[in-house]
Parts: sequence; C-alpha cells; structure tokens
Amino acid sequence: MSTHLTAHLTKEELTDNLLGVSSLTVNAHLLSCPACTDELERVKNSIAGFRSAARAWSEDALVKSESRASQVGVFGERASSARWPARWILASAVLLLLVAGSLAYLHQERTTSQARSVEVSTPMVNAGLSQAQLDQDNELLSQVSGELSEAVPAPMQPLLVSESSGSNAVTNK
Amino acid sequence: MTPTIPAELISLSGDHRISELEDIDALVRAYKPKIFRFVAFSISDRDAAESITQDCFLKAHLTRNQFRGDCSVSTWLMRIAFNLVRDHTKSQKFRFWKAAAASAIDAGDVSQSLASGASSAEAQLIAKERVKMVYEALRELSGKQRSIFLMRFVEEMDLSDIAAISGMTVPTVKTHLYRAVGAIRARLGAAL
Repeated sequence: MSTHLTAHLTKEELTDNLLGVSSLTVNAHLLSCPACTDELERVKNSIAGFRSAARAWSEDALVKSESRASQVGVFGERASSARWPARWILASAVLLLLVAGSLAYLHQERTTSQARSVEVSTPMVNAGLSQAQLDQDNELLSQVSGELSEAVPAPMQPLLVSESSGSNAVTNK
Repeated sequence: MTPTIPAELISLSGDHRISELEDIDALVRAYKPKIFRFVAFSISDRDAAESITQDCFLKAHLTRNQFRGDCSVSTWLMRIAFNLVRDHTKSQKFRFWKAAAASAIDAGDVSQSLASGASSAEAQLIAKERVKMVYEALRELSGKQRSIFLMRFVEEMDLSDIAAISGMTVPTVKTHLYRAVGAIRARLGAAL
C-alpha cells in the first residue's frame, strides 16, 4: 500500500490514518496534498461529530428511560392501585350486565310460561266459572230430554185428554 | 527489556475483575451507557436496545463464574452484547416492518443531539447534516460492519479487543472498517 507523492490516498490508507496506524509515506503525502488532507479532515470530523452525537443521544435516551422507569417505580403501585378501581368498575359492570341479562331472561321466560299456562288453564277456569251455568244447562237439558222421551209432547197433552173423552162419548152413544 | 508483571498482581487484577461482576448494581452503573449506546446504534431500535442491554447484564451476572479475568470487564460485556446483537439481527432478518418500528432511532434526533459548541450556525448545520449522513450510511452497512465500526469509532476500542470480541482476526476487522469508512465517504461525497 505504498503511496506515491502524486497519487491520492486509497481508502485503506485513509482508514489506516483514522485508526492511527498510517505509514510515514502516507503522512508525508498528507503534508503535500491538500485534497487528501481535506478529505481526511472531513471524514474525521464527520465521524467525531457522529461519536459526540451518539453519546449525547444515548445519555439523553437513558435519562428518559430511567425517568420513565422511576415514574413506574414511584407511581407504579399508585398507578396500579389507580387502575384497580377501573378494573373493579369494569368487572362490576360486566357482572351487573350478566345479572340484568339473566334476570331479564328469567322474567321473559316466566312471562312466557305464565302466558302459556293461562292459555292452557283458561278453559278450565272458564269451566269452573260456568259450573253453575253448566248445572242449569244440564238441568234444562235433562228436562228437555225427559220431555222429548215422553210419547206425547206436553203441548199436545190437552188434545190427548179431549180426544179420550170424545171417544168415550162415542162409545157411550 | 520488557517489564514483567508479577504473577500475584495479575491474579489480584483478575480477582478484582471477577469481584467487579458480583455487584450487579455497580456493574450496570459503570457500563450501561456504553453497552446501551453500542446496542442502540447496532440495531437502530431504542426499546429493543434497552431490552438487550438488560439481557446483557443479566447474562453477565448469571455467567460471572465463567469469567476468567483474562480481559477487561468492559470487553467481556461487549462480547456478550455483540453476541446478543447478532442473535437479535438474525431473528429480525426477515421482519420487514422493523424499519418502521415506533422506537426506531431517528437520524434527525441523533443529529440534533450534537452539541452546538462555539461554531457558527452554518457550521453547526453542516456538522448536523454530516452526522445524519454518517448514521444513514451506517444503517446501510451489514450488522457486523456496523458493530465493528461502532466499537472502533464510537467506543474507541483497540483493534485487538474488537477482534477478540467478534472472533475475527485483526486484518479481518480492518477490512470491515475499510468498507465501513468507504461507505461513509461515499455518502458524504455524494451529498456534498
């Protein structure tokens, strides 16, 4: 990697210089070549700037991270306990919803079954309520049946009586 | 004539290094900034870097009995961090969304962290722009090249230590550095 005084530094020679292991030839070239000196300075300054910025950034990031961690540490229990009521409220709300839903369902079921039982029991109730009427109807029906079962209907009984008396009269004649 | 170090002094030094690992709090206080910085800029993800940094110290504490004291604690921790970064990079290799991670390190934030100093506003602007370009060039390097660049030019570690940490030879480490510096020069040259 020897460098002529006229040729510019190779990337290896330039990097070696950055690493502090450049040869005497490279150093001699740099003394006589403003272009290579400028290039070297530019790269060196850029890397040095990045080093400074990286260190500053990481320090800042660590401070922020530790600040966050301390907030969690100091307020962690508080934050945690502060979250507990919210959790309890949420759990209670869910429980209430479940209970309310169950109650609503049970109520609906009960209403439906009552309606069904009313539907089913209504004839019986109606029958119970009209028992007296039914007895009257039965009595009436039995009267009607008795009357129908007679050979001569009741309205025709007078005719039957008058006819029998008339025949007696003919016989007597 | 090479000065010789007494064996008991070496032993004492090794014991001191080993005992340094016992106090995890002190260990974290002393080395966390360095480890976090290395990991953060290796993977470009702040949250993941915090997690990996914690893993690094946990692993160091759990495996402290394996530390023989033949290198500095800093180098040993960097070796653990280097391996964790490599594992993370492998596991994240095909996750395309990683670039859009919410905790991704923004080049603008990094450049804004550069101290203003006593230079003119224009010089500060140029310096910040160059910081941004260096960071962007680093992100385009391979994980290994980036880690090696960070160890040498940000953490200012010796080439022999970097070689020991990465399991490479010194010439291989230098080759990675040539490529990394070449990429940065290309980026700087393209922009300016």
